[in-house]
Amino acid sequence: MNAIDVQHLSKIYRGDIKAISDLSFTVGAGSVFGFLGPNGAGKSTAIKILVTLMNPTAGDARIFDIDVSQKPKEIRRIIGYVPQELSADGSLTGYENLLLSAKLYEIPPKEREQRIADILEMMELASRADSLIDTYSGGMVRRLEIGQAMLHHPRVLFLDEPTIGLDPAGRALVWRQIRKLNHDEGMTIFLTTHYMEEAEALCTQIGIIDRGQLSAVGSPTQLKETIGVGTIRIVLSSSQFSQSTLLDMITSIPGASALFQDPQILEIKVPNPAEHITEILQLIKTNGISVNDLELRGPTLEDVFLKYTGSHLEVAGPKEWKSIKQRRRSVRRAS
Amino acid sequence: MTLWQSIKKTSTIFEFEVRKLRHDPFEVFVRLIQPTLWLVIFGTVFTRYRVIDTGNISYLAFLTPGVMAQSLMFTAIFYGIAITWDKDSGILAKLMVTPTGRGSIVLGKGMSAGVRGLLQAVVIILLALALGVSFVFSPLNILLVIFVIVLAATCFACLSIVFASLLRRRERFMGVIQLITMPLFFASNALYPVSVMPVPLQYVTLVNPLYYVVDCLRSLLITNDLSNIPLHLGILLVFTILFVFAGMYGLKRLMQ
Repeated sequence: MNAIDVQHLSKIYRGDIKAISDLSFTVGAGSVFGFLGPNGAGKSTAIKILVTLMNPTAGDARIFDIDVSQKPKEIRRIIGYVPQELSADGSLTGYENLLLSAKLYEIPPKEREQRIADILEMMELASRADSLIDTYSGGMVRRLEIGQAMLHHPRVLFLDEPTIGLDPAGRALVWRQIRKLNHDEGMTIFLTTHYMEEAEALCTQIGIIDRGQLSAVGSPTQLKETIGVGTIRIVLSSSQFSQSTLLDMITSIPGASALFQDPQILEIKVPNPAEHITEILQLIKTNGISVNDLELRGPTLEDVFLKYTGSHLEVAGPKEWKSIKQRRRSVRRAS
Repeated sequence: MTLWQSIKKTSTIFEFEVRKLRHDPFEVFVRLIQPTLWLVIFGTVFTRYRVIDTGNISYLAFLTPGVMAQSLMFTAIFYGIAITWDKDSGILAKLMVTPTGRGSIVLGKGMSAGVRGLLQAVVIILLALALGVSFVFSPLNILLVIFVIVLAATCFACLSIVFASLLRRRERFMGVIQLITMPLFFASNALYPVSVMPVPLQYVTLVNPLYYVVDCLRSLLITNDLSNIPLHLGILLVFTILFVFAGMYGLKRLMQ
């Protein structure tokens, strides 16, 4: 059974800006679906339509066979949503944020306290339950938000960039919780991410969206198989040779491409790298150069991404994270 | 969604807005400075020199409900800025994805502005008592005063949400709100009786919610002449309902 079924979905903003056009995909129940795409590809628009915050211009989207724009009230009872921003209320405590969600999700008063305690325990936040969110680290806020979104046992959990800006430890903890929700509760997870290693670590299915349309879909392994090329990275002992001659010789191998990342670092993309490695080393030797270091790897999700979007991912750095935190502080001041 | 659920959700939104205020009451204290200045400086000076004829009540007594209404309006009308912050920080999106009606969100948040208004009112009354103003303290009047304050704060907070959703950017919002608060204040009976205004301005007061707020508060607290209360309270209620519906539409618009 499909948890999410999107057919010919389009959204055109004022001024004729097409955010998504004719987008179709399905997400199987119980899977972890990763939505990947460069900035402005339409990921956020798609997620906003799915969580009932926005109506599509055309097409339809269904969650467990309920139409998202026809029956938003029913949809809201079966989904959980964690927006990209740090959206726990900074002027309330962790416990209060959970209590607010519990009341809004109509969890019976008798079960409320136990459920909140369980979530705090699960998210490893029990000791900080009564501190204001403003004193939480980014990773703690994120865990609390995931906790808020799953209080009512949703059937589908939507996570928009769940680990943006988190440190490796914080990220690992969030990943563990996401896997646990998927595994223990059978919850379908739909997430968007900029991080390839995140998609690789968590997702059973990946959809790549580019310029408002789906350009590829499949499991990480399937997608990597479509690439077919691997990478050979060679560190050369000197730079005293003709780069163009060497590149010409290497690119004469069928399907191979090569470039110098540095006068001494050569990156070659070729189908079945293991098969061609001896030949390539021989070519380098004939140019009178020796090899200092060598790295060989199969296709990665990043290669997949580049193939289907033709662009590098823009990853949020510490700077972007800082601005998110600053914004949160201002929110507290203003409210 | 049943009516009972809607009421429960509204009170939940209200409850957590008040909790936020409790965690950080700084703003409430700051908001008390302005009305104090109005009463203590403006009020006492104008009373001493009898600049404005207010009939058989002192100018200070006349002014007190005006200052009360003014301070609650000035606080509530900026409420929209909190909504734009909530929108930018994802708090609003998360709220709107829960099974909670737009009406409950707008009404709950709007009513919380009434708590600030009530706290201000208590301090203003205590201050005015110290300055020698006497009030009508019948239980019915006090209940009605509380109702008027909460209703008025809700009314202006919802109006503010409407502006926030139309203007979107905080800078524009601040500019426009600054622009409308003064005319609302001056085209009302807060500082002087309507009868001293130029005739065209007297008509403007009829569509100014602040006029009805001041009139209700003055009748209930000072003159005890309740003949206009049903009509004026009714008009204020209509304004509020109108702005709640406009605010619901505004929230939806904000997310697009």
